[in-house]
Amino acid sequence: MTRVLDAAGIAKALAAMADAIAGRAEDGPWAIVGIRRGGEHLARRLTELLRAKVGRDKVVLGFVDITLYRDDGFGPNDWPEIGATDILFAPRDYTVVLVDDVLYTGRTVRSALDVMLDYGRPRAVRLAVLVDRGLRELPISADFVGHRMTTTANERVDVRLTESGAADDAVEVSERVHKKGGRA
Amino acid sequence: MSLLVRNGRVVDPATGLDGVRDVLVENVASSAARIEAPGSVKPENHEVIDATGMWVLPGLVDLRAHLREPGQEYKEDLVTGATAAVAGGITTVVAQPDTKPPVDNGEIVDFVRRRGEAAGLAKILVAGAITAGLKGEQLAFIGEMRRAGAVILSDGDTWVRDAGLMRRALEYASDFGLTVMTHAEDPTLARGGLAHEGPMAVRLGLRGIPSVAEETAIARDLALAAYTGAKLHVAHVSSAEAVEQIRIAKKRGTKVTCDVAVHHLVLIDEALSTYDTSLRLSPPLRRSRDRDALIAGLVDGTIDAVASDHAPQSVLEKDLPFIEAEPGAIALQQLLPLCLGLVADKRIDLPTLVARLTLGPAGVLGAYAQGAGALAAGDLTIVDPDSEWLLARETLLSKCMNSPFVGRTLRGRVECTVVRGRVVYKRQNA
Amino acid sequence: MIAGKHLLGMRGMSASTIHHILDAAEGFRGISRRTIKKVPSLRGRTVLSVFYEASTRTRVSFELATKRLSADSVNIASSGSSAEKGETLLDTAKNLDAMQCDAIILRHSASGAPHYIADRVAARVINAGDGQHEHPTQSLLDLLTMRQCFGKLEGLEVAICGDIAHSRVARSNLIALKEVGARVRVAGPRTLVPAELAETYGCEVLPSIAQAVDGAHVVMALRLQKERMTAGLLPSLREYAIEFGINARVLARARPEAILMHPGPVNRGVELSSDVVDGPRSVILDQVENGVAVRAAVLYLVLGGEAA
Repeated sequence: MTRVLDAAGIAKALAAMADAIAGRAEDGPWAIVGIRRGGEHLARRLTELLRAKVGRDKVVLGFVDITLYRDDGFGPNDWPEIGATDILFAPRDYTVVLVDDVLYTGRTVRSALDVMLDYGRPRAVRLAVLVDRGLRELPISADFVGHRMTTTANERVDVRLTESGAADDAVEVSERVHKKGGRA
Repeated sequence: MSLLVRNGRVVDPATGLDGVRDVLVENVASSAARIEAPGSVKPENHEVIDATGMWVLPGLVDLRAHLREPGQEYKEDLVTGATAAVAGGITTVVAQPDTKPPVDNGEIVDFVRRRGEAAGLAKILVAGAITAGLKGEQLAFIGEMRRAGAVILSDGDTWVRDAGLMRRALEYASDFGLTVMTHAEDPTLARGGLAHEGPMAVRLGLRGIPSVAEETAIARDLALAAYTGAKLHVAHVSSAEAVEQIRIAKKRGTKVTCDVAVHHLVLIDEALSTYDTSLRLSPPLRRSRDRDALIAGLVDGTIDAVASDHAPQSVLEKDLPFIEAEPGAIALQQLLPLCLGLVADKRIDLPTLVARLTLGPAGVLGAYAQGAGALAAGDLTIVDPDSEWLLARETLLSKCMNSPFVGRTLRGRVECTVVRGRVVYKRQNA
Repeated sequence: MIAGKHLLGMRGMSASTIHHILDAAEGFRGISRRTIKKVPSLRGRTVLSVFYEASTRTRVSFELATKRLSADSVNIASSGSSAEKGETLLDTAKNLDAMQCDAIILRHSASGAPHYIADRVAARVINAGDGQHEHPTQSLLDLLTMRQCFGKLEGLEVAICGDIAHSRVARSNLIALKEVGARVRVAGPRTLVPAELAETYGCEVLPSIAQAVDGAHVVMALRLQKERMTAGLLPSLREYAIEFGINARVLARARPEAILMHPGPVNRGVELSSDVVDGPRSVILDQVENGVAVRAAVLYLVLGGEAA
């Protein structure tokens, strides 16, 4: 297991992402939308960072759950957990910034886009991810990336955050135990 | 040539015999069988069957089988029915009259009897209808049917609802020495019912048939039998209380006999949980305590006979949701192995069981049984008690497959069946 | 797990499975309330609804659920038994199977009909009510409604009142409520409550409606079918309403926070007085709303697995 980013590294990356988002002033106002579950806490942090730069009233927060929009169903032994989608704003008035922890195949983002569009027609949609690990299976790329790295399919990338009960914020890379383990 | 069955365990309730013997059957019209000490008869000039390790029983007598001919030959005919019977060790079968048309006159009795004789397998005896067309409205041609050879009267699976008519039937039948067999179930209590009224019927959402539907019908018929002094036979008793009613009536001297259908001795309503339509029976399978009482009644002689109540139904009647299916199960070939299971479980001893499969049912028919039920008549069943066999499409000889035991392995296999001294069934590769 | 399986009844379903299904149903409730009430989960799947018995709400509820999941739905309504129409249920089943559908939602007047079909088709079979046997999705939506109102199911006192004998809703609920740890008391005229009910389901059978309602969290009334009168089980509707109906006075015996449920459609003035149907304790319309969510959850969980 290798630690790619520590708490300070994550904070620095998020700050840089917030700067970059704010830098496109013509985008505002923004709707920061976390993709459950991995993007949920990052979206909250990013919202706070962005609000500090552009003002509270310029940024709203929302969440999408992609369970029902996956293109691969669920495993025969899984109980899919359908999380809530909270889009309490009118998308047409905002630039939506989808937030996820790791960008990998691109399939999660594809699903999240579909969820988002079922709630309305945003002015534009951008994508912000803490880690881009490559290995895309769809033509999707992120607008704001905290950390770029090269990985193999045999590796797994975990983003651990204190909000989810981790002792410390960290991004770690390890060998996959099972072929069909995580769905990054 | 005569037949010598050597060295088998011979059980003959008529003589009280249970021991290893040789049996010699003269192959003549009278076909009388003699029981000899093992090895005492020289095998020369005889067809010899080695029955070492096997049981040699009088041919079984089945009081109740629905053989479907004439009219429903797609389910069974007298030849396939008789073929299945002898493969099950049954040498005398009483064919039920609920055919199409029903057996309610001399001509049809004669037809069934001749067809049975022509088959030359089991002896097919004929039950004539109690009422014309089994409709319960007027008496059938009872005298004419007797003259044509009917041995008992029955309205099949219908109870004679009209008490006055039942009284007259009992009286009139006694003029001809005929017993009246009743399917005791009051339809006003059983109407629309599909399963015994108990927890299983509740659970499956099936309308119940309470055992009191049987008991009220038996009570009336017993009262009429006692009043008229005529002979009554209660078919397929199924509830504990019904057994008790008959026990008391017998003690009081009412001329009543009864039988139990084999499935009620080995199955209870809990088996219905999968909506298996082969378990839709009439009367319905009842609860464990009822089964216990039936076995006890069989042991103490309250119940005279075990019947197959063989009721073939094709996929048209059975491959349906439970409530749309017709009742009945085939049982001719399974009758003996299923009963032997009770012996293996020590619920009944072998000689008593054999009596209820031979002498008991023959006694119900009285003189019309023509000596069936005793070894001396020359009808024999040779069974290998330890042989196991799979009840499957390939081994079933009935035209239908409606048995809850299809796919199950049964223990106890008929090796050879002899009717009037002639081998009518021999197991393949035996 | 119910993925890839038939849903024939509540019998054999564990408490944890029940709660998982209810959790998924909660997820679907939000979808019903948005502008685009559709998710792509079952896009391209075909769901056949085969109703051999008249039904409005169950059929519509399943159809909406199917559409919310983006599956294609085809409805086949047929009055009378298949046999009456000259086609056996077996032939019907084989024909439906030949149409390559993924699920068959079956409502049939014969208890056990879905079990019969399930053994003979490749598609998944979902029981939408079979005779007097089971109605699992109704039971699930009832449980969902109860769980929403009380935050739990365990320990709830549930009174089921009326025609228990002929009710598949009662049977499914008796099984499911016991499994999740609720306690059930039932009451109704003796002609409509099987003698073996307590033995069969481990419930309590009380001699009067008032006693069953006493202190209950949930009062569930069942629809009284008019044909019970002609079958000689009851003398008249009026007498039933007076002796066994639930009105405000009877309902007052339940807990202060008690809810009133009914699987619908209600015979106003018979099993329930009109005022309690529309009264503050009535959650009858919540049941209807939950019906779509529960049925969507069931379809999604049965058909949405990756193996499917």
